[in-house]
Amino acid sequence: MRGGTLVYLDAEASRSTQPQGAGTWQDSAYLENITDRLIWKDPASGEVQPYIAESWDVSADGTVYTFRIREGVTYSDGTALDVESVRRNLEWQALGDEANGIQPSTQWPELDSVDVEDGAVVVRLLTPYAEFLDVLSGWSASLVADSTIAATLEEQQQITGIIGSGPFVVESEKYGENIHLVRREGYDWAPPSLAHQGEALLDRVEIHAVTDDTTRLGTLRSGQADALRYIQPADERLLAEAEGFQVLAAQGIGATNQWHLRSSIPALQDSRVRRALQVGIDREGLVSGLYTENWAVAQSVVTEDTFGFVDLSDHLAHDPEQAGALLDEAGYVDRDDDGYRVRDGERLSLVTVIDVYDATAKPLYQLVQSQLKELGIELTLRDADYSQVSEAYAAPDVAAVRSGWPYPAPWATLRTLWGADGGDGFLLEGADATLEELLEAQAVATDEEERAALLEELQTHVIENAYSLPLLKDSQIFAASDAVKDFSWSAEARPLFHGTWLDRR
Amino acid sequence: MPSRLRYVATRVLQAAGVVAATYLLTYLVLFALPGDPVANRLDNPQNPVPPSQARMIIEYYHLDQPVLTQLLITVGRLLRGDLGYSLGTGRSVGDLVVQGLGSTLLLALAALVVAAVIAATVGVLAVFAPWEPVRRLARLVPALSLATPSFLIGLFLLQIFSYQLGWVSSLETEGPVSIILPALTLGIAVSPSITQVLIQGLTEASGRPFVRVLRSRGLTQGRILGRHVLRNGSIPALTLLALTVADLIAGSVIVESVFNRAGLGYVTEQAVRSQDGPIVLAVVLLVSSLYSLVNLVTDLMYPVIDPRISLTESRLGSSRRPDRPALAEGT
Amino acid sequence: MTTTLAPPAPAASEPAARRRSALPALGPGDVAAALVILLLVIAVIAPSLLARADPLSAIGGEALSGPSTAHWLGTDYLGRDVYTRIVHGTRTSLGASAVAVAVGLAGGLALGILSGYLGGWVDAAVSRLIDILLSVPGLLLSMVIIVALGFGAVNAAIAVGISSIASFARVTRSEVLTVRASSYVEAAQHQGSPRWRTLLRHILPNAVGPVVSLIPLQFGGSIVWISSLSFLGFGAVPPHPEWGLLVAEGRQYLLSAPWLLLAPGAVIVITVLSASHLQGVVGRVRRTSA
Repeated sequence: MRGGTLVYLDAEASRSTQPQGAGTWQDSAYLENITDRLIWKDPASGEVQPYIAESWDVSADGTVYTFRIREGVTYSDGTALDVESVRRNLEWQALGDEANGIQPSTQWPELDSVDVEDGAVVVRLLTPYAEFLDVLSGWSASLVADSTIAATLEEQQQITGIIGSGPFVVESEKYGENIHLVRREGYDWAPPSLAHQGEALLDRVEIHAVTDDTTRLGTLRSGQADALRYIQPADERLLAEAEGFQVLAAQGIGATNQWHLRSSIPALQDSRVRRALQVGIDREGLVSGLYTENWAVAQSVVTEDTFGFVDLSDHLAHDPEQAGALLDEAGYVDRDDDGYRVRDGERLSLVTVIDVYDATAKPLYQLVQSQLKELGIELTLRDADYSQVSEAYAAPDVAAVRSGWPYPAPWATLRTLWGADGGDGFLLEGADATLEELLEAQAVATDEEERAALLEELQTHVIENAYSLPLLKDSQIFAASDAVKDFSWSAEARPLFHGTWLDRR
Repeated sequence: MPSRLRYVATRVLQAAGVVAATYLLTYLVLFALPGDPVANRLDNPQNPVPPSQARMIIEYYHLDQPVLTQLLITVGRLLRGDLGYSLGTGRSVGDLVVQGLGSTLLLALAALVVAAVIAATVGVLAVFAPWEPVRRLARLVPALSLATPSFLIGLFLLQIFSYQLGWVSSLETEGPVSIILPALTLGIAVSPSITQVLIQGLTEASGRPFVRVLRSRGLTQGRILGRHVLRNGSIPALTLLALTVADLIAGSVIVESVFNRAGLGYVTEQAVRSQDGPIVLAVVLLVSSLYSLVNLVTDLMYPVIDPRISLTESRLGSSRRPDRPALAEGT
Repeated sequence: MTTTLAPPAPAASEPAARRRSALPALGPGDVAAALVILLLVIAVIAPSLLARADPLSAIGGEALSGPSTAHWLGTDYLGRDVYTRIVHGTRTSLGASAVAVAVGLAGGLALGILSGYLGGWVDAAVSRLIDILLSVPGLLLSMVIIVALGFGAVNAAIAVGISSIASFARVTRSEVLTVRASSYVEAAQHQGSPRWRTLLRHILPNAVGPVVSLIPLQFGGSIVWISSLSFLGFGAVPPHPEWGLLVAEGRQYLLSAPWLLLAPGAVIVITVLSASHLQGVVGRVRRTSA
């Protein structure tokens, strides 16, 4: 049971592990394996549970949090992870380090003060913040040693610059090729709710970045590697049939794969057109046409295990007749020679940019395009590369962009994405006061029931107005040989190797 | 000879000019192209940064300064030997380039050897093999190896020698044996042009009258081939060999991705795709210096191979009317 | 060194007796190559003659099915017929490659002849310009050009063409240097022939040899280059069935549906081989009728 080296193939190389700035799948996963956090979010239920914070109290008005810290925790360089260290970490997360170019942790609320009082860490916020504990469970809230906090931005962007207290320690890194992790001796502070406690079972984890899909799968199949992240849906079926391998799907808690519709586009200012799109897309057809049983259609803007989720599947069911009726009502009755609807001689035409972050995007977008063509809507696809994706998305004629990923604090992130003073994702420029009010209110609600009601209202509002078109619940697909046991994940579907072991018999 | 020395000195000066001009051009190009890694970080959908925090990050990287200021800051650092840090990954550019160069240089040299061997073998077979079908087949090789995607060749080699036979690991570098498969792949990928030009050159050269004269004097085919035809037919191929450096860097990107080597090709492609300025500029510096060197060496070698070509490139066709016929060196 | 006044005629190493007929006998390989070229021309002009289906229509339920009587080359991930897509993509692909080769050839020949023939500071300036062109990473160069001109297969082709000017130019230059230094050119100069005539009648026909032999290769290379650019998002946009895009997409399905890569890949190989063969035939005809 104990011992052995896990050879893990990641789909991309590490880019930046600086905690406040990290977001990529691979970097957030590496961070979570070499550090710990105050709060643990249970992947199955989405509940916040004790971790380095053994217990906590929240004041009645929701602005004061008192955390009692577990004793005996140390970083891998020997320094103590005590209340003082936690205090320094929290300040750093809340305020960043401007001189070093490190921004505050993006979803952190506004901080009044962090103090140590009676052996506990007391955090005072300026306003109540419903998802504060969720924020503290995310990878950006990982606790690091003083030497890391003091290090430059560039040093922190490399995993060798992160000193944490986690179940693994970085032994070495070769840029673009591999990262070697070794077991942290003496590790004894895993989240209490986990089945496996104490040190990691694996001696070492060797992470290799193999960007070519075929090579990655071929290497796993040849036995030179034990596990990998991401294979194409078509290859999933291939592997499932092969002997000695398992395909594992993880669905993170957070926002679903959805398209934001922009109200700056004249055609989309008419809510009938947007609602026609909402019911005109055949989501089941997308899943059955392109994916496997590891994927499912979205039921709302967030996944079911997100707090406040409400099932709005009936609003999202495929109804081409209703879509047609809505478009007729909106004035797009006639069709031109190519079969697209026109109104006053103008074709109903929308532009979108194929998502660069999603590996399955190209086929998905083409299928949606073909579905919309039947409705009489022309969807023009544009391609972009990582380097110009911001520009491409920002082009004024783009009507829809993909959004939605697992997030530690989903509603806070959606508020940043949708709110008029944030990203204004629907380009409403504050025109929808109800939306703004709901986003504000849910963020500061202290009573759970009240908050759940607000979130239900928010989701219903967004979906009925078809500001956002939820499509799928993304799955993060992993494949491994049968010898790998207890491969597990965090709530955001990042792989955690603490409890994993190898059965090489 | 003093004129040769003067020539080299002039060329070195010109090379410095080329390097500086390329650097400047690249800098402006990077600036003009939309997008940069910092913007991507700010807009990363998995961790979107609120606009209020974005300003601070932009200031840290001096991206709010005018172009000229940014250029002066960068060049200032460069002259102090500081190549800067990657905007996307924070790694020291110097370290990245050294790591990449070490890996790619080895691969490129091995691939060049493979390509030269392929070109010479196929070229000679295509022109001088005594059997017609062999000549026909050999003439097909350049087109075939060009049109076959190099990643397919690499994957094929991996499948056989690594996955099925297990002779070589596809992940670990196990010393010199790990370079064989990538070198083969890359060598095959860059060989077409050299082979084609060599075939062409050998065909032409072997048809020249002097060959018949030599043959009438009783020299054997082999002698003619080795000493005369090969030398005369090689000039364009030699030129191409120098140009192959470009193909090698371009081709190494794919080969490095298939064989998991983070060489210069990989580093450059990542940097260009994310417009990571410091890395691109460092690579451009390196490559332009390299080219100038290779071109200089090639130009110096022309008269060695074909004495009729003069080194100083000038006389015939200059604006002054020639008052005496230009005699090429060495005749 | 023997002196001749006529430009050297590249001939195969055969005895002096040549056939009298103007056309050399055509073998089966020649016929096959000509047939391929003919099919390609039809595919460019009137693709629906060769493939009646719609290349963009997705047939539900038949995604990723292998070659069969209904679908000669199988279907792709959206159920579209691969054969139809290849046929309809011929126009864009061959057109784009032609543009790339034309740009590279024109620019390269011009620069190479200019620098090789005029020599002096012109040569130095052009050569250094080419050095600069070669030093900038090809991908960056392509990106700049595409961003300036706009996305799409043709502009990607122009970018690829500009990137290839350097190799054409250098090879031409080296050939011009060789030819220029040969004795018959000297003799022509002695006879007082003006520069431009020397250039046109003696230097040009002989210097273009190796460059012209590179054309079919450059053609094939352009298709491959444009394919990588399309894959990165700079060239043709899906759902357009450009060959390079088909190859790039097919690469992702190599293990589960290999025909997606092998079919367009084979078509590219056959095209390049036929072009190369044709060019050889033309060369032979030119030599025997000279």
